[in-house]
Amino acid sequence: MSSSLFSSGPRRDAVTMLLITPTRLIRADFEGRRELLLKQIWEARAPAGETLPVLVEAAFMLGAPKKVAVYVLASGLSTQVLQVPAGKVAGLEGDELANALSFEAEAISGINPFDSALSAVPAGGSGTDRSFWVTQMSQADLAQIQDSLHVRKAVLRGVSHPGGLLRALGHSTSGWQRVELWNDIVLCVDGSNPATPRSHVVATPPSRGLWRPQVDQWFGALLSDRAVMVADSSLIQYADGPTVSLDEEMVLKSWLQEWATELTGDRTRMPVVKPAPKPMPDAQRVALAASLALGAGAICVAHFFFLGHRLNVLRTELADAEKPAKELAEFSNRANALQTQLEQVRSEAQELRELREFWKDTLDKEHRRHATLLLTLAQATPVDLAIVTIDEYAGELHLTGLSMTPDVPGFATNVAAAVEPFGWRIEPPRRRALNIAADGGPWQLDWSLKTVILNPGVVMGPPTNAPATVSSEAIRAAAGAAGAAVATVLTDGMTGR
Amino acid sequence: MGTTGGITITRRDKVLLVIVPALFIIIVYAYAFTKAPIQRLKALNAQVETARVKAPRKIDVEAERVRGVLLARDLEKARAELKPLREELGRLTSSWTNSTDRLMGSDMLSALWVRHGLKLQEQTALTNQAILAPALQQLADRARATLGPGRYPVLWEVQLQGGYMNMLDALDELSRSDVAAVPVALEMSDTPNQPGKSWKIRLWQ
Repeated sequence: MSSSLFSSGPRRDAVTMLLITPTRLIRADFEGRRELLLKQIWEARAPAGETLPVLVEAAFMLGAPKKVAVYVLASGLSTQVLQVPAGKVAGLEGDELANALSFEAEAISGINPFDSALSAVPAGGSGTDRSFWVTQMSQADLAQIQDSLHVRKAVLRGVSHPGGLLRALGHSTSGWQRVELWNDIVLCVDGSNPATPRSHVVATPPSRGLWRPQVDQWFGALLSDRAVMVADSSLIQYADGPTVSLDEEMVLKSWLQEWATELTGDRTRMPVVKPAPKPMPDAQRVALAASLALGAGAICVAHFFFLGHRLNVLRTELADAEKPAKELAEFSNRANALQTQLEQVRSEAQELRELREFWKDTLDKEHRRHATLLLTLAQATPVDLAIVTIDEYAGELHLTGLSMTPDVPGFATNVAAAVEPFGWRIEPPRRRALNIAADGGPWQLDWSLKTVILNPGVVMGPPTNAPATVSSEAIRAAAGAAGAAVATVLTDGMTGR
Repeated sequence: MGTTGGITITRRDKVLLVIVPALFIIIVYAYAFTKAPIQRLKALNAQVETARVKAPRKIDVEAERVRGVLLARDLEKARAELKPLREELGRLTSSWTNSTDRLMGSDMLSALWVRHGLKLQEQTALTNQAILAPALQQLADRARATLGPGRYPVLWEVQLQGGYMNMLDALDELSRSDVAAVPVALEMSDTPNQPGKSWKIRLWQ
């Protein structure tokens, strides 16, 4: 079954039914989308004395050869109901059941079980027996029919006896019964229960009247709707009651339509011999193997390239995923390097700034240190003290003075207050009596002014308690007082100009 | 079922003969060519997942970039501030290291002594820097490190004769002048049979 892309529903394969009777060859072609409908029918007289494959070929050739599914209904096939012990067929299905039944059927059909193609459907049973409705033919004939149709692009789907169709002919809503008279056999079909119709084969030619009791016995009750159908008009004479014949075109078409519907349904209830699948030629098998291998190779190559492509995609994704981290690291490194440079530059700037301040401050203080010292000495020296020497080395300054008393109150304190901002710390004096006067005086006093190391690099402002500059007026005023005091003690005044 | 050269070939065998070459190719390919790429794929997948999980937020990246920009700006600004500092320090030190300035300073000192009645007895250069006061020693060391060798002041010893007030006035003027000379040590003593005092002043010039 194939489907068309634009069809409204599933499209059925075209089906051809071939009816082979001793007198007629009929070909009926069916087509349709949802259900098969009879499209064309051909009929010819059957040549006498030909084998079934020849007759089938002749029937098919009534129309044009084409790609169709073919069902053959041949009245010459052996069909019968076999009753076998249940034990013989217990657990058998499919080919095994067919093989077993072939041996049972040989006695009636005369077909060698090893050349038998048989189809069977269950037909009830009683107690320890089981019944099968079987249709049997020669396997060689079946293969020949299959080959001849295959040559003509057609496919054989099955071969069956035309008798015993388990369907009502025409519309029937209630139960129905039908007796079919074929040339060498009589079949009964009981549709009393339309859902589960059943059939029975009476292996007696209609020309012999022996079939009637068997038929009546099998049907049991006679339905008013029982019909008799004959395969051709020559058999009407053996029928009772209302009879239809397949010679009638309408009956034939209706009957073929029902057969087509039955055979193409999901599951037929008729014993249809189906041909074995044609074995594939070796060349075709090799070609198929090569094609599969090539296909597999192509799939492998495609997969290989797909893996490569996927790897590239993942590498790109990885690069994208790592990009922010790399950017962050790059920015961080750059920022850290800038931070380091900035700190170095700031540090250098700070160092230069400190050096500048230190330079200015130190030089400023050093500039004024000695002037301030001399001024302070001039201001702070009392009248009874004369500074006679000043000595300085490596920042340590020694003052030597002569005094009438061993103590010079306030002198050291005043000097300390003036010079401490310049980094000098005055120590208590070393005293020595010269013993010229009665009281031991005068005394020689030595003061040490030691340099205090100020915190290097600390920017300091100018000394707050020191004069910004030495005033000349203050110097002269102080010099006058100091000079007068010393002159009384020493022969030469230290302040004389 | 068929027979070929005495060997019975079943339907299953025929099916296998058709599909075995394709299966062989697939198996060989799968074994030889897919192991390594699939392992690489798995590893890359894991790396991608890890990288995605560990990826910093966009705002963090942007913040770091902005930090770099701001730091670059600050660095430029700091360098710009550094330049005038160097120039200023250069100006400050040039008077101490420029030979012309030093000669002029020497002349101005001589005039200063004369102006304040101090008689110059002797003037000599000292090589012993150890006599510097600690603060000046630090200044000398830093100047030497910053300005380089030979670019720092020289120590002179000047012997003078004159009165206390003469020296006081001279030092007072020197402290207020632009002369690049710093008195680093001062000695005073009496001079027998001579008026005034003997002065020994060490100048850093």
